[in-house]
This record gives sequence, structure tokens and C-alpha cells, in this order.
Amino acid sequence: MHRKVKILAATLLAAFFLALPAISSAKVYIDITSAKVQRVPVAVPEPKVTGRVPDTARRLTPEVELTAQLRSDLSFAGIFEVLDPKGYLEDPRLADLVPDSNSFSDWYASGAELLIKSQIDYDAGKYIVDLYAYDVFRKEFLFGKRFRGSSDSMKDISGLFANAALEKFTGKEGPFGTQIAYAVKEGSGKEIYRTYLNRPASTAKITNTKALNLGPVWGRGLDYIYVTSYYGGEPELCRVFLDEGFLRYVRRNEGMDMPGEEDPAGETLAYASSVGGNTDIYLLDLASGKQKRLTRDRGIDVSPTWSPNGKKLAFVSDRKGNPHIFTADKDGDNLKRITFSGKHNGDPAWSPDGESIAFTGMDKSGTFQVFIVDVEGRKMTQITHGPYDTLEPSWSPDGRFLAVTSKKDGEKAIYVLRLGANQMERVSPVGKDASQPAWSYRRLK
Amino acid sequence: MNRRITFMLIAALFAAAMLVAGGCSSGSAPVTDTPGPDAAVAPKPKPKPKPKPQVTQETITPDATSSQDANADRGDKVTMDHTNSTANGDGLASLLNTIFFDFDKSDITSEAAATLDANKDNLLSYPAARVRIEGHCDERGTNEYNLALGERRANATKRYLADAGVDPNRMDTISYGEERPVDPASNEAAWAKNRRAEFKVIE
Repeated sequence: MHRKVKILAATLLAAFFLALPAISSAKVYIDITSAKVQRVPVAVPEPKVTGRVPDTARRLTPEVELTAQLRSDLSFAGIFEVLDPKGYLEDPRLADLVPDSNSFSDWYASGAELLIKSQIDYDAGKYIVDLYAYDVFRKEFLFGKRFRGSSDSMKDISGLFANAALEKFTGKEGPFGTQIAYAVKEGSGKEIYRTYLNRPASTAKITNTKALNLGPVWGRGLDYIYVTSYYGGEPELCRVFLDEGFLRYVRRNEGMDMPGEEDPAGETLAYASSVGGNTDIYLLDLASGKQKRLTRDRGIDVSPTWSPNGKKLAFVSDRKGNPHIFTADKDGDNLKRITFSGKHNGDPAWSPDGESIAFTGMDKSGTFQVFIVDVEGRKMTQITHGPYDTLEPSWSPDGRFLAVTSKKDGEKAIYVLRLGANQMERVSPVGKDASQPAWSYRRLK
Repeated sequence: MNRRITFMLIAALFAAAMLVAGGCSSGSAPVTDTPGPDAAVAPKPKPKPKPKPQVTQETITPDATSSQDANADRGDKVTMDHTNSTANGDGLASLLNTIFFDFDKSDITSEAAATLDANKDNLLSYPAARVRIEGHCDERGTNEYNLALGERRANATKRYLADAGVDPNRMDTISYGEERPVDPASNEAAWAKNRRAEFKVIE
């Protein structure tokens, strides 16, 4: 299955780049982690509207909303440059859905190498949205997708198409449609919020407890979020189900419990607890409720994160003095220290490709920054730089982006940064102190 | 071979469907004999947009009073704890002083020990009072590590007092990590004030 996708993507890529001499012929693939890559210029004209689309009470018509979100998503993806619609020569209301030779020439003249044409139809209470990608230079159809949805679905449809486009051109699906949860300071408490990627208006408040709720982490099924909550008095490990909005105990231990992460199968929760008097890593079998202690040293062990194959864990331990990142098998064997420099390393997040671990570290100037180290601990790379703190990395499911907390704009806020690019896009609302981002997973199939 | 036949069948069916649709609509329908989007779209299953998230801001209130819990299998509901309100302890509260720690440390310094010795005497003078020792950190360092460090500071403080003769059953501990700074500034003077263990009289 996986292989088939790769072959398909490779074929498409080859076809695409063979077809476009404007793009360097030496380039055989788009290296999404490189900032130097030339973005593919893409034109996204407004959809052609057919059928009888009803007036809606929405502020934006579906076609306007779809176009705006699609331009934004493709631009956000990092490998496309969306051309300014002022330079488009044809009127989308009059132009044919299938471009003819002259139309392709016009698009080529306006600088486009890729063209996204679309059509919105309305039938039996549903919008039918067709999206087609064309190779402008070769005047060829590349791929198409049909979606059905309500007037509320346009942003979802844009995200699904942008994911498909990324998959076609890079072999790896995009991150759109995923959510980022985070903690927002309100009074003396912190509430959990969540925002869909590249959709600021989707921001919603999940808890309303007027208590401290810390360190949100998604369950693999995306139906609940783990937090350390003070709502019941002691800091306890809780879950907030998105369809309920209130907190439920996962487990009530003596002392303090803090979530780490569910294993990729969603069966075992790794978490930190001080139940034994010292903070150690425990594994909780979610079906049976059986708890197993993983670490037994005298140091603080916190923040466990699973390798994507579910065989190993990375966590923070100060057993050697300062807090550093360690890895171990899920039975506790093969303990290995993987960070050696810096006085304070924490918040490990295992990358979706399994190759590396992002974490927060104190840099030489004393600010906290995001670093990435390979899982063998051989090579450490500083990803962000001061003078302000940027910390608490959380991977997008496709591994292209990190959600982080940064004081870039003064107040603590959540941003998304694309690896290889210097830009950070703000996620959390202006005027709110936000921290501890947790990027959702892809839903378990 | 089989797959190609299936592909062609689906493509043909789709083209037929488009002809019917085109015949009904008055607008300029896509040209079905063009080997373009229509044929290529056809083999794709029709992806359904993901369901909209169920979360809205309005419906969310932690409800501790409802007796029915349709989702009891999801775990016990957390109810609001009101013990956070502190008692005055007949004047004891003002007699218990905060102690301070070095960065990333939970050792009781000699200065802190002198403060705790005085606190011990006052606690022994109010034998009925219960206290909660709150461990705090400065903003530097990672959140979860600081929660554990704050707990370690609270525990170290409790252990010192217990060793000095205060009944440990009179002392609760809690960590607030870096969540409750007394000085929100980002400088060494503020950080030094925030790395602390505080005393609250709870009954």
C-alpha cells in the first residue's frame, strides 16, 4: 500500500518536472525541509458556480471562502507560491472548466506553472466541489478530486485538497485538518483551547473550570485531551472529552500525575507520577487499568514520548544532575542518554518519521530554544534562536512543522514553524497568554 | 489487467452520469468527450469532508451536580475542590514565612533552615492547625520538570519540619511549578523570589 503510493508520487513528480523546464532540470524532487527550494508558482482562480446555489446567511459565499482558504493553505504548505489574482487574465465566471490551448498560454503568460481550476455545484442539499490540477506548461491535466459537503465544509475541503496536492508533489500527505491544543492563562487558572491548522477562526475553548489545567496531550482517537488538572484540588491526571467539556479522572494516585502520551496504538498511556514519592515514568494499560512503573531512579523523570513504532520512549531525567533527554525500550531496558550539552533540556517530542527528537533546551545565552537531536544522540541542531524564548515543540503529523510556544511578540503565544523556513505563523489569539501546544495526530483508522 | 478494466468501467459510468447531469443543467457543462478531468476524476472515490468538530464554546460547563452520567465508563467526573480557600489559623498564617531555593535545587539552604526553625516553633504553638506547603519554581525550565521540582521543594520543606518535630500529618504538600509567580518579571531578582515554598493554613 505504502509502496504503491510512493510509486504513484514518483511517477507524478517525474512527469511534473520533466514537463516544466522552467524548474531546474537537476531537481528531481521537492525537498520540503530546504528553505532554498524554488516554490512552484500556482494560479488559483475562483470556482465556476453551477447549479442553483442557495443564498446562505454566511458572511462569505462558499466559492469565496473556498478560494481564500485554498490560496492560504497552498501558500502555507511551503512548496507553492500562489500568484496574485490581479494578474489572472481570464474571468472565472466565463472561462471553461477545462482550459483550452489559448487559456493555458494565458496562464503561462501570467507566470503560472500549476493551475487549480474548480467548480461548485449544488444538488440535493449538498455542495459538490470539483478541484482539478493542471500542468500549465505541458497543457496537461494532473489530478482531480471531488468533494461533497455543506456550506460549512469549504475550509475542510480546501485542507483535504491541499493535503492531496502535497502528497502528489512530495510523496507525503499534508497536515491540514489537524488541530493544535494549548493552555491559555485566564485569571489564576489555565483553560484548554484548540485551533485548526491555518484556520484562526476555528479557535474554541475546551475547558471552563477556572482552575489550572496544564500540559494538554491528545488521545490517539482525538476524542479527548489529557491534562494535569487542579480542578479537583490536587494536580491529577484527567481527560476532557471534546463532546462533554468537563474533566474526568484517568487515575487518582497519591501525589502528582502528569500526562505523557498514548502509544501509537492508543492502548498504553505513558505518564509521569510521584505516587512512589519520587517522580517516575509509569505505563498505564488503558483497557485493564493496570499500572506499571518504568523508571526507578532517585532523579526526576518526566515528559515521556513514544517512538512512532511504539517500541521505545524518550523522557526527561535529571538522574545525572541536570535534566537531559534519555531513551529506553518500553520495558525499561536499553536506557540511553541522548543529550549531553546544555544545562536544562526537556519537553521531548519524537518525530513522526522516528529519526529524531525535538526538545526545549537552554542555549548559551540563557534563553530557551527548540533543538532537534537524532535518536542516537550524535547530532544536535538548534532550530530557533533568541533573543526571545521559543520552546515546547510539538510535531505536525507529517513532520514538516513544529508547533511551539514563543515570546516573539512579547506575550507567550502559540506559533507554527515550518522546518527549513524562518517564518513562524501565529496560532493562538492575540491578547492571550498561551503555552504548551499539542498537535493532534491523524485519526486512528 | 483486471484493474484497468475496472478503471475503464468506472470511467465510462462516470462519463455517462456526467452526460445525464449535463443534459439537465442549463449552464455550460464540462465537455464530456474531452479526455481531461472527468475521466481522471472518476476512479477516485468521493472523499467525504471530515465531520465538523463537535466542540462549541457555549455548551461547555463542568457540571458537578448532575446525578446522571451517561458516560460513566469514561471515568469519574472531577468536581470542584473548595479547600483552596484558606483559614486564618487564629493568626498562625502571618507567622509562617516563605523560604527560597537556588535554581534547579530543592536543598534547604542555611538561610531557609533558619526561617523553617522559626516556622517550626510557631507550628508547635498552634497544634490544631493544618498547613499546606506549596512548592514553586521560577519561569525558566520546562513546565513538567518544574512541576516535579516544585513538588520536590515542598517535600523537602515538609521533611525538614517533620524531622524538627512537627507532626507530618498536619502538613499537606502541593506543587504549582512555575504557574504562580509572586513576581512575573523575567529577571534574576524576580526569579529568586519565585523559587520558593509557601505556607497556607488550611484549618
